[in-house]
Amino acid sequence: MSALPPVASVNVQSPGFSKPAQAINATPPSEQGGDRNIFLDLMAQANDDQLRSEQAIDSLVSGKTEDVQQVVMEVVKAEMSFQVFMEVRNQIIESYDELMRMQF
Amino acid sequence: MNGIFYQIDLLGSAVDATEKNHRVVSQNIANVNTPGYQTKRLDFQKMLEQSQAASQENVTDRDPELPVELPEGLTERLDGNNVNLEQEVAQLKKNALAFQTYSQLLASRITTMRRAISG
Repeated sequence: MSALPPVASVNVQSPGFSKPAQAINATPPSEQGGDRNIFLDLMAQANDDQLRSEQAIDSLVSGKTEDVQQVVMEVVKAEMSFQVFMEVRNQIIESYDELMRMQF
Repeated sequence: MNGIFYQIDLLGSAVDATEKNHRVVSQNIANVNTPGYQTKRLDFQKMLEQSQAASQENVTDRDPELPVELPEGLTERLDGNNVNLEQEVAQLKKNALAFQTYSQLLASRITTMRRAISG
């Protein structure tokens, strides 16, 4: 198993800090190297979903779309993928703590 | 305008604008029997911009002039009143749905944000 990449290589745009339109086409950071990091993929995907939901809310409020259920679907999807990401992160940290508590 | 509160401010302004729209439509319904009363309509986009500008500059003036306009093409009754009650009730319902949508989206954004902060 490969070690965690340095923080600088995590090239993710955070939601809210940028215009969502530009970020959606950004490639996930793990595709650049040869080894794929599932956790980073998950994070990039959760981030993309967040950005997409922000864009959907933007277009609903500004009147560009009237499709309320589409917007709600995007938001719910984003919420759920974020929840999955948080849960995976918590499990990883928990197992790390477990390893740290081991007595040899 | 960017930052972590961008979406919350945007949705807050939308909720604010729907609330103002509710006032205008209620006023129409209240004046259904007033002679000479003309139906008023709120320009939602203008209201939204106004409310966003107010939240950006932290203006304390909570009662600025509403961007209302008088729509054309409504049939006027003999007493000069052109309020169509059914149409206004439909507007009220539509606005209530919009309010519900915006406030629920706002609640879900805030929940996600809280979850991100507290982990």
